[in-house]
Amino acid sequence: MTDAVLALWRREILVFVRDRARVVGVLAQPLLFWVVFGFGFAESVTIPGSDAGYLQYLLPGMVALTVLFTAIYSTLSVVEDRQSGVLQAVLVSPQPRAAVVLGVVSGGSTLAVGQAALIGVLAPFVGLAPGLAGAAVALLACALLAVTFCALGFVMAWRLKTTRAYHAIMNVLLIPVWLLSGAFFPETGASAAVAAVMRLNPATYGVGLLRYGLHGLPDAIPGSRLGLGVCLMVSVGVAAVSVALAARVAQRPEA
Amino acid sequence: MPSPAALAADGLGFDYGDQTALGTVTFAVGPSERVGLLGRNGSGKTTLLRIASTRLHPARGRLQIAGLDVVADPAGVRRQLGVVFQSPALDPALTCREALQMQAALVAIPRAQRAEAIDRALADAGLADRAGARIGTLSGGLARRLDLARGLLHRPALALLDEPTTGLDPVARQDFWAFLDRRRGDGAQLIATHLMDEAERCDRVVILDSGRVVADGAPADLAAALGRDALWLDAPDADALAGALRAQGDDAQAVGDRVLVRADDARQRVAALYDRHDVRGVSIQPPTLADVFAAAVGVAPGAPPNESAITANGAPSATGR
Repeated sequence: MTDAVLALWRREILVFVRDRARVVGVLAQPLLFWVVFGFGFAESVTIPGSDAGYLQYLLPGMVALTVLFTAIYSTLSVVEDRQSGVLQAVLVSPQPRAAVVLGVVSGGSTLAVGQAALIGVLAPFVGLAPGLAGAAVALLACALLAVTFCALGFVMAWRLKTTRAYHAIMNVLLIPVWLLSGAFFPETGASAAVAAVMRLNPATYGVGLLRYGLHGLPDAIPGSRLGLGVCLMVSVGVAAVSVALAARVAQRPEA
Repeated sequence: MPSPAALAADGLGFDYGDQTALGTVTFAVGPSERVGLLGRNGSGKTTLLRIASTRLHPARGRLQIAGLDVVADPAGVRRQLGVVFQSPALDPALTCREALQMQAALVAIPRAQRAEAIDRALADAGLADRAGARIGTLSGGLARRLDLARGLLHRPALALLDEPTTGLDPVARQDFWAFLDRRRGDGAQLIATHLMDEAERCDRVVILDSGRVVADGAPADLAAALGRDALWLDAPDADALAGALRAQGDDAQAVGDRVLVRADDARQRVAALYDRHDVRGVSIQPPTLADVFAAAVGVAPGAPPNESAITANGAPSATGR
């Protein structure tokens, strides 16, 4: 099974890097957002209880956006494979369906972390100094977010028959999840209701962990009251539950 | 101990809601046999192949592949299977070799044997010089052959092929079958098709109609069983003519807008038929598999799948459901 997972992983990577529009697209969007919002709100937004500028505050959010988009859209391959018949060929192979889940999740997560790292290298230019340990935590945060959203994307993709339906659903879900994760605006300045929703959003903890990493593991991060330990534990838990859910969904027969 | 049948269906049945897709289907495929599965769209071929590939659970009866039950041991069954679908299951972004490398891992060919198995498959498919080409750049015929190479890579005990040459031109179909012939020694082949010339290349054909087996035998035996000659009559009212001939003791059947009469003395009867009945044209042919199909299903092979064509010649589509 390890061999099969590796083969499926390799294929996800090959298909991605051979599609240049996709590589550029998932990088260009966060950069564009970052430049427009970061400079646009530069003088309008201050982070409560912090002297971080908005450009700096937004950078971890953009890394998170890159992870979310790359991870979720990598699972589009499940819908495409079902349409092309490639998925059916995998399902009639002797491999357990968990191998399919692991192949898709590991492949998509690798891509998501790789793309996110390309945005993350901008950190020193906005005054962030993560250091080695911080960078490692940031990568871990990206990996956990990526695994979570690849697995959740798989759950959605497994039932959908067309890529159009997939795009429609993902646009409705993904943007609010990102907006309400502390990536775009801080929890400490939000109304009580919005702050409560943010606490319920599983992505909030991954984004928090990412902030801890990129800020070089401080005692507290700008705009949030979440501790490092809570962020780490919830992120790991959510990733594990998501993968288990995907493995369970994959056991269902095809419609 | 003799090796078990590559496929053994025993009273196999499946329904989609209250629609019966397979009634009670019983037939077998020997360990190195090539069997053609014939039937019109909706006859149950695809449902049968889906059950055989463990993607659907049968509602009735049972199906064994190489002695293993598809419900009790689906993983074991899948190890014995090579499946080729109606359209190639290939990722256009990969190269031919990469697609086969992925398949080799999926079917768990030991690492040490992979390169050899892939080279052999590429050679048998006539694709040795295209190994590094992206699949997206292959012609339809080459892509089908690569897909067959993918399905047969691990020399499965049973290859399931679902109308694998749909949409191919005659030359590409010949090449596809030449490849299939080269792999006869690997195991059994069960090939769903609606093309009679492909069915003629099988050791045996099983004809499905409305989810039932309506004929099962070697193509030549089935044809011979029809009688020495097939007499095809063009008539303005095929149903009336078939009825009139049956009334005088003939084995006559309306097939679309023609009447098929099975007779040993076809040649001698032509003049009398013109004299006594409203016949516009006659042709006499030694019986072919197409005649077998027409007689068993009530429609000529390749006739458009409309329900009225079935009901028009006295075999209502609900029969056997």
